[in-house]
Amino acid sequence: MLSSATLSLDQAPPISVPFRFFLTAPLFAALAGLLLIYYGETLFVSRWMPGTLALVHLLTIGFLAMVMCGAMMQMLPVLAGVSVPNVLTVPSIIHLLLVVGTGSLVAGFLYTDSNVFIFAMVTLGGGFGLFILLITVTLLRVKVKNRTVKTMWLALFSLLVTVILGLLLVQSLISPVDGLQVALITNLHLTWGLLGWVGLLVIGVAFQVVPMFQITPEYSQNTQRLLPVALLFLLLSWSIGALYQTSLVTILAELLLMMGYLLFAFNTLRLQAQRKRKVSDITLLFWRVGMVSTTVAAGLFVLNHFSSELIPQSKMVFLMGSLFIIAFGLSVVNGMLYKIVPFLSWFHLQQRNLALPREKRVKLPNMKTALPDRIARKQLIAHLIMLALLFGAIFWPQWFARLAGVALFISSMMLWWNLVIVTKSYRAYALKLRRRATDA
Amino acid sequence: MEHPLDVSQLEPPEPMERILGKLDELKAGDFLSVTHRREPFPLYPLIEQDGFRWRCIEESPALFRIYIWRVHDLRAEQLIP
Repeated sequence: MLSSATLSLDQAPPISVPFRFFLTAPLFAALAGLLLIYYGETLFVSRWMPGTLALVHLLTIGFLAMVMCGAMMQMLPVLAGVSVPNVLTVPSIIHLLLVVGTGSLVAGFLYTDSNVFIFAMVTLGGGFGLFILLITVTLLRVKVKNRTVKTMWLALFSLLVTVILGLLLVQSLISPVDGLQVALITNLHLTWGLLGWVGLLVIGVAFQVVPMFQITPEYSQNTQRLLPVALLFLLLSWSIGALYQTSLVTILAELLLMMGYLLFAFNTLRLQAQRKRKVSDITLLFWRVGMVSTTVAAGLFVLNHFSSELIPQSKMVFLMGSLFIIAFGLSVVNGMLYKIVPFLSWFHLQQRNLALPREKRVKLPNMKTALPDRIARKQLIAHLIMLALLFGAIFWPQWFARLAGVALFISSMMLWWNLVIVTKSYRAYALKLRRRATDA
Repeated sequence: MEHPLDVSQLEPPEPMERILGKLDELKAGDFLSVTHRREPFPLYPLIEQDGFRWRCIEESPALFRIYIWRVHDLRAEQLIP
């Protein structure tokens, strides 16, 4: 490839756009903590409890999707060399719709109000719809079609399925939809959300980000080529099996799906063990927690299939949900934030610095100084305590549920504050650069 | 003259920092030959804005060679493989 760049600096949204996604997400997780403190052990009675549904969506949409949408828009320029157009400030509108949509969906669950549900459908449907459209347009413009880009297509498709099924489920809460099997559609919705959208996006991003930031060997070409497609194929087969009640297809597909995730987690842990630079790294530690959790989740699922008395089914649902959403999803995304936010901040400063005449340029600080590892490490400890209490709460909710809520609140607020520290450091340097630019 | 620079074992944003640092040292007829494990997309608009041209060759999926030289430096441009 030859100059000129496909990436245009003028097209990309200003830094305040991605930062608002990253800075609001931990607040939703903190809100989930408050909800757990308020409702306590009742949230562990059944997965159909309104409070439980509210808690899950605060974490999945409010935290996970919020960061993933913001990060996808920002990382596409870095990973695929194409900017997401800031047409009519669409990214800011997506953010607003997701914030209002998450809030209203949660309120709808808690107060069972049809009007609030309708509002949630419009805002979330609109927000995700706009996001899917924007990323589709952007991905179509990518000239370099690497594995990450191909996997992003699969993740985006999974998001579309998840959102459509989600809207259908909200509709059924407003007025019963004829012939809709709510339990079945709910299982499809959550499986496409977690093992499709979240899982595939993490895998696609990992193909580049793990070797890039953690200086490990590359994932094998076979893994990169086959794993995402195989997982999507299995998700489709599983869904068809579930819809047509073909238990053999369903069981086979779900066991293979779990094996696929087991393979990914195992592979990642193996690559991380082989990394050339042995310096401790906060993101690496969060990712290890995530990968170990995936291994445990997939392993438990397979084991429980062959010996169903191992863990009672009522507990198994909460265990799998907590492992996939919190121990895997929250850990990996939390760890990524510690790379993305300082990197973006550094990159935007660098860009402004280079726009100055040579004699006016300043020496920018190393990316790591914006947030020292020892500060982020304290949050990791809070996160680990939260996970331990959460697993305790699944088996002894009356003892641990509220404590887990407190820990979730604290850990999320610590993450939020750490990101605020990076933002403050960015602002201080941005101001310095602006002064340099206006100085005679 | 070719100035080799291997950034393949560095964590972002160190590769970009090193490259930008080296570019300042380039004299007429000089070009930078960077060994990288990925294509550094975000680097391109920055160096173009700063008056450089580049050419990237993918030698294997995890090995990229990026040549960078000053705009209008024909002597350097002729030396680029």
